Amino acid sequence: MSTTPPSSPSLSQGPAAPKFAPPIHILPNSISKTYALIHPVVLLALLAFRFNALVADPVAELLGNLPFLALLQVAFVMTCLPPAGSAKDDDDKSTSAAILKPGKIGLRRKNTAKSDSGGLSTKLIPAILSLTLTTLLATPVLAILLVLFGAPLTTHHAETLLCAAHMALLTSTALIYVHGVDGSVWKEVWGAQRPADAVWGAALGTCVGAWFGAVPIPLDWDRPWQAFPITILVGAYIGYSVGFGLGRTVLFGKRLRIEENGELAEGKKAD
Amino acid sequence: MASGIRPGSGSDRSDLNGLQATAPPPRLLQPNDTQKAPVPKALTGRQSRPGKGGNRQESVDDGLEREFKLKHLGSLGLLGWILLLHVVGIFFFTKGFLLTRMVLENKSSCNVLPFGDASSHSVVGKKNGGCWHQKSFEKAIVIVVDALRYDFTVPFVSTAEGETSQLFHDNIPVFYETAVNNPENAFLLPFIADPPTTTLQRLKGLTTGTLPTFVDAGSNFAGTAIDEDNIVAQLRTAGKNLVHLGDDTWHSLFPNYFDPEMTQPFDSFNVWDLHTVDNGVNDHLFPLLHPENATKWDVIFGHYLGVDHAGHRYGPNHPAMGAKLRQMDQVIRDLIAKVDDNTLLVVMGDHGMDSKGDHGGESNDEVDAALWMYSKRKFFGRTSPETVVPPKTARERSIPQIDLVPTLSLLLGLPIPFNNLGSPIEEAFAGPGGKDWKNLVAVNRLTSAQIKRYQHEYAITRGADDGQEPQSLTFWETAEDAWQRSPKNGRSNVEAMRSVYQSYREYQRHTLEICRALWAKFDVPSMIQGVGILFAGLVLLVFYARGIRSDRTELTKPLLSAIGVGSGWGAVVGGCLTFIGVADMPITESSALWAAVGSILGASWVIFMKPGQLGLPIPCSLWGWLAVVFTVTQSVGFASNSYTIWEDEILLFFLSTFGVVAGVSSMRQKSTADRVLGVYHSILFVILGRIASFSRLCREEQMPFCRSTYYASATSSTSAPWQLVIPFIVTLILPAVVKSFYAGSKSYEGAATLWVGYGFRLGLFLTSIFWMLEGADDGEWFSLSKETLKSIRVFLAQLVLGLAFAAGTAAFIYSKPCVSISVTQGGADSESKNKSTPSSSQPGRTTVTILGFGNIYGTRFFLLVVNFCLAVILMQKPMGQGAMGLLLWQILSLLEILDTNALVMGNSAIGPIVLALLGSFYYFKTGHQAVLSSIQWETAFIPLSAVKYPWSPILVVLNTFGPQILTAVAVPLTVLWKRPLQLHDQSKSTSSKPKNHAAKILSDVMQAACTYILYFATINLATTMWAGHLRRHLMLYRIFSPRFMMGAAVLGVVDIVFIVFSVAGVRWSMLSVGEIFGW
Repeated sequence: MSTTPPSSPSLSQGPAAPKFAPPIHILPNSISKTYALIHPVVLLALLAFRFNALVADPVAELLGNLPFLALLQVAFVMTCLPPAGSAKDDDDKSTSAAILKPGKIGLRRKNTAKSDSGGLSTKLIPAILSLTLTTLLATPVLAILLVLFGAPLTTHHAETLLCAAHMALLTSTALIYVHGVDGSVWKEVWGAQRPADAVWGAALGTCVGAWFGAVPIPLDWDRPWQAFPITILVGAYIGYSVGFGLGRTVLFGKRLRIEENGELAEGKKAD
Repeated sequence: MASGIRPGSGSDRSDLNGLQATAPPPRLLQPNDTQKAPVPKALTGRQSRPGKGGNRQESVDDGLEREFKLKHLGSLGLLGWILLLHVVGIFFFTKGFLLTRMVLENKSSCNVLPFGDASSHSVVGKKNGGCWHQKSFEKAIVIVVDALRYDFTVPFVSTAEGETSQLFHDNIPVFYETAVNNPENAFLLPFIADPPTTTLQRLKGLTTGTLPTFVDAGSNFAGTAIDEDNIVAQLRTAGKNLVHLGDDTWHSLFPNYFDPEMTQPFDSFNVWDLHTVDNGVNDHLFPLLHPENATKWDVIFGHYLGVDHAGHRYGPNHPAMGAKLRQMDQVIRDLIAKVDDNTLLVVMGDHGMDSKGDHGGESNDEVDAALWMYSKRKFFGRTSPETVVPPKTARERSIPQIDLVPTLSLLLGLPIPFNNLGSPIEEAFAGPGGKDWKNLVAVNRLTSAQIKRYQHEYAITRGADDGQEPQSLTFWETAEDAWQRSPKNGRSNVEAMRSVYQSYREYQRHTLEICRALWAKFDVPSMIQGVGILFAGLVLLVFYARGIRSDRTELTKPLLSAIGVGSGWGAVVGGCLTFIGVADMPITESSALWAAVGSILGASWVIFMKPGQLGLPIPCSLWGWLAVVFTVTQSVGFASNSYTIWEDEILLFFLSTFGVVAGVSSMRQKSTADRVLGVYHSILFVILGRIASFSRLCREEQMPFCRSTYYASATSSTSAPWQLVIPFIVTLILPAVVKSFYAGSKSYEGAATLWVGYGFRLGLFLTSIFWMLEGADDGEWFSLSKETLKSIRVFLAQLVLGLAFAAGTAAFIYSKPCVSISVTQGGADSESKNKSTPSSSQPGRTTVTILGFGNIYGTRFFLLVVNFCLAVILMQKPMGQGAMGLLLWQILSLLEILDTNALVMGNSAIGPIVLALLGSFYYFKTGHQAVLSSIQWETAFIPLSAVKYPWSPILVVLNTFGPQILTAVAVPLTVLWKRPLQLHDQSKSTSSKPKNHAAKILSDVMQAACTYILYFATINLATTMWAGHLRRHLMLYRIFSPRFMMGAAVLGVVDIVFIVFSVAGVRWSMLSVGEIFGW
C-alpha cells in the first residue's frame, strides 16, 4: 500500500516506484458478492429498458436517469467495495487514514476499522465525497475529452455534458470511493497502470466501450439511435459491464502494457 | 561511448527539452586526451594536431564517410524500386478500371443516308439545301456560357421553408422572359451534362454527341485533338466558314478548323481573371454581327468564361457573380437585337457548379446546365401546353447535352456525326404550332437510323457479343414497323404519328442506356494484375520495414542486385511472351509487368531466404498495435461510403486516441521531467489537432451535418476578411514556436538563428502581404490597378519560393549543425561566472562547451522541414496557412512525445504512422476533400501569371498534397530527434572494422520512411481493391473512384518526396554532423 503522503500527484515519486497498490477485492460477504454480480446486469437492463425513450429524447432521458444511476452506483460501492483507507494492510503499518482528509475521518475510522461492513458513516462519507468529485472533476474532464475526440463544440452542449456525467458516474464513483485522493494510486490510474480489478476494469472498460461506441455514428443507415451521444453511451455501459466482469475474473491483477516486452527492447538495443 | 561527453541522462532532461532551467548545461569535453575524446574535428584542426593519431582517425573517418555515402545512394535506389512497383501496379489497375471506349474513325457523309436498305439510297442527295434533312437556318451563333447553371436562369422559387434567394438568383432573366413571352421564338430547358464535368470533356460531348469516359478527366491541363466525327468537322466539310472566340480549349480540340483571321482564342486557366476573356469575346463578336460582315462567316462559336471564373474565385453567392450574370444578360439581349432571321442563336452552359463554384464531379449542381435557343422568325413549338413554361427546376423535363449534336446538325442541314447518341430536341422540330409530327418523325427516324448504324459498326469493330443488342434491335424494329404502317400523307392521324415518334425516341434512349452500361466495362484481368503487384509490394514492404532485425543497409546491396537481375529477366520474358503472342498487350507493358514480377521474386529471395535476420512483423507493444489498428481499420473502412465521406473526422478521432494514449504512457515515465513534458506535449498535441479540425471544407455528402469554414461562406471560394489576419498570426507565432523547441535543447544556435529567426519569419511575412494584396484585389480596397497588384503579388510569391527552395536548400546543404562551440582556457575562471560548467576542469585546461549537443541530428535536419513548411504555407489559402502552422507545431509536439516515451531509439512504428495520419488529416484541413472539384487549380497562379509546364502542375500538387509532403519530409526526424551522438569507438579502431553508427542511423531512417510509405501503400491498396470490387456501386464515381485516385496520387507523391528530398536530405545533415564531430 502506498506510503507517500498526498503531495501533488503528477510530480510525486516514491523511492521505490515499481511497487503498485494491490487490486481491490469485492467485500467478502455474501450480500456484496451477490450484488456485485447483479449490479452490471441491473445497469444494462436499465439501459435496455429505457433505450427507446433515450432515442426519442436523449437530453431529457439522460437527465432523468442521472439520479438513478448515481443512486445505483452509490448503493453498489457502499455494498460491495471497501471505502478509501479501510483496506487492511497486513504488511504495511502506516494506516491509510492519511489518504482521505487527515483528521475527522481518520479518527472515526479508528472506531470502525475492525469491521469491514460496519458503520454507515464510514461508507457514506467516502460515497458522498466520490459523488462530489465525480460531478465536479470527472464530468468536466470527460466532457473536454469528448470534445477533443470530435464531439461538437458549438452545439449539443447538453448531450455532451450529460454523456460525460453518465460516463463519470460509471468510471469515477467506485475509483474515488475505494482510493480516495491517494496521489500515488491516482498516478497509477492516469498511467493506466492499475492492476485489473472490478473497479479499474469497469473504468477502463467504460472508456474503451465509449471509444468503440463512436464507430457506428458516421454510417449512413439513417437510424435515430445513431444520434451523437447514444451509441457512445451504450458502448460505455456495455464496456463497463464487460470490464467489470473481466477485471474481477480472468484479468484480475494483470496490468495494461504499453511498452515493448523487455527482451525485445533489449534485443534491439544490442544491435 | 567515448569519455568526455556526458551522455544525456534522465536527470538533465529538463534542460534538453525546454523547461527553462536556471543555466545552460554545457556538455563538457576534455581534449587532453585527443585520441579518445570525440573532439569536434573543427577544434582539433584549430589546436595542435597530434600527428599519427589524427591521421589514422582521419582515414577511418573517410572510410566511414564513403561507406555512408554509398549506402545512402543504395537506399535511394531501393526507394526508387518501391516507387516503380507502385507505379506499375497503379498503372495496370487504372488501365482496367478507368473506363475506355473505342473511338470509331467512321465519318457520316452528306451523300449516304444512314438507312441500311437499298430503297433509301434512291433519295440520296441534297434535300432543299440540306443534307439528310431540310435545312432550317443558314447561319448559327453558338454561345457557351461556361458553368451556366440552370437555376441561374429561372426565377427563384423557395423550395424549402426559410430559403431566401441568393446573389446568383434572378440576374440573367433574358432566357426565361423570351421563352415565356415568345415561345415560338425561344425555348429554355435544363441541359444535363455527363460527368466528368470539366470543360474539355464537355466540349467533346457537345460536339461529338457521345459519352465521355473517365480516362480523359485528368487531361484538363493538356487537351488533345478530337479525331472522332463531330459537328465542327461536319461544318468544315460542308464548306462553312467557322469563327471561334473565347476559351482556347477549342483550339486544342479542333486545331486549324477555324478562320484564322477572325478567330480570337483566350487563355482559359487564369481563373482569377473574370473579365479579359468576356470583354475580348464581346469586342470581336459584335463587329461580326454588323450587316457588312454578314457574309464573312457561317457559324460563330463564342465561349464566355467569366461566370465559371467568378464561381471558382468567389463561389456563386457573391456580388461578383451577380454582376457577371447581369453582364451576360445584357450580352444576350444585344445579340437578340442584332441577329437576322436566318441565324439560329444557341446559348448554353457546358456544366453547372457546386455550392462553392467548382465543378468536375457528378453532383446535381455540377451537371445541371441550361440550354436556350432563339430564332428571330417564329420557328419553335411545343407539342403540349404543359411544356410551354420552362421547368422550375433542372430535375424536370431535362435533356442530355448530347442532344445538341443531332439538333444542330439537322437544323443546319448537315449529316448527323457518326458517333452521335443524342436525340433531336422536340421543341426545335415541332414547328411553330407544335403539330408538325411528320417532321418530328422524320428527324427521329434519321437519328435512330444513324444510331443503329453506329451500333452495328461498333459491334463489328469490337468483335464481341453484346447480349443487349438484340433487345435494342427489337425497339428499332417496332419503331420501323410502326413507321411503315403509318399513313404517309394523311396529316389527320396525329395519334399514329405521335406513337411512331415515341417508339423512335424509345429506341434512342434505350440505346443510350445500353451504351452507358457498355462503356462502364472493366478490364478485370488487368485490374487483378495491378492489385497483385501492389499487394506483393506491400507484403515485401511490411517485412522490410517491420520484420528485419538486422541492419537494413547491409541488405541494400544484395537486394538491389537481386532486383536488377529479377527485373532484367522479367523484362526479357515479358518481351518474349508478347513476341510469341501469348500475352495480349504491347511489348512495353508486358515487359514492365514481368519486370515488376521478376524484381518482386528477386527481392523476396533476398529477404526471406536468409535465416535469422527476419522476424514476424507482429507488433510487440501497444504502440505497434495502435499503428496497425489505425492503418488497417481505416483501410477496411474505405469499403463503406460513409467512412470514406467522414474520413476527416475519423482521422481526428485516431489522432486524439494517439494523444490520449501518449499522455497515459507519459504518466508512466520514471523521470519527472519526461513525465511532465510528455503529458504537456500530449495535451498540446490533442488540443492543436482539435483546433485545426475547425478548418473544414464540407463535401456535398456531408451535408447537412457539416459547416464549411474554409472560405467566407459555404457558397464562396474567397477568404473572409478576418481570415486574412491568420497569416499574420502565423508569422508572429510559428517562428517563435520553432525557436522554443530548438531552445529547449539549447540548439537555437548557428544556422537556426539565421534561418528560423530571419529567413522563415521574412518568408511568412511576405506570404501574409501576398494574401493581403489578394484580399485587396478581391474586395477592391486599394485604388491600384489589377495589373499592378497582380505583378506585385507574383513577385512576392516568387520571392518566397526562392527563399524556401533556392536559398533554403543552399542553407540546408552548406550550414553547420545547430550547435555553439566555445573554447575557454582556464576552466576555473569560467566556472565562477558560469555555474553550469561542472567543476571537473582544472585550471589551465581547455574547456570546450558545446550547446545544442543533445539534439544535434534533429535540429540540423529540421531546417529542411522549415523550408518545405514555408513553401507549402505560401501555396495555401489563409485558413490553410493557419492549419499548416498548427501542423508544424503538432509535428514538433509529436517528436517530443516520441522522445519522452523512448520511442525515438526504439524505432517504433507509431511515429511514422502518426505523421502519416497527420498528413492525411491536414489534407482535409487545407480545404480539400477526396473529390475532384476540391482541387484548387487557381493556386497555380500564385507565383505565375500564365500556365507554364511543368511548374503549374507542380504548384497545384504542392497545394493539394502539401500536408503529406511536409509530414513525409519530417519522417526521418522520428528517429533523429534528440538522438544521442554516437561515434565509432576509436580505442578499437586499430583492430577490426569500426562500427558505422551513421549506417545504423540510415537503417533506422529507412525503416521509418518505409513505415510511413506502408501507411499510404495500405490505404492505396485498400482504396484500389474497394474501387475495383465496388465498380458497379452507385457511388463509384462520386466516392470510391475519387478516393482511389487520391490514394494513388498521394502514394506516388510521397514516394518521390522521400527519394528526392526526405531521405536524400539525411545525407547532408549527417555529413554536416560528421564534418564537425567525426564519424
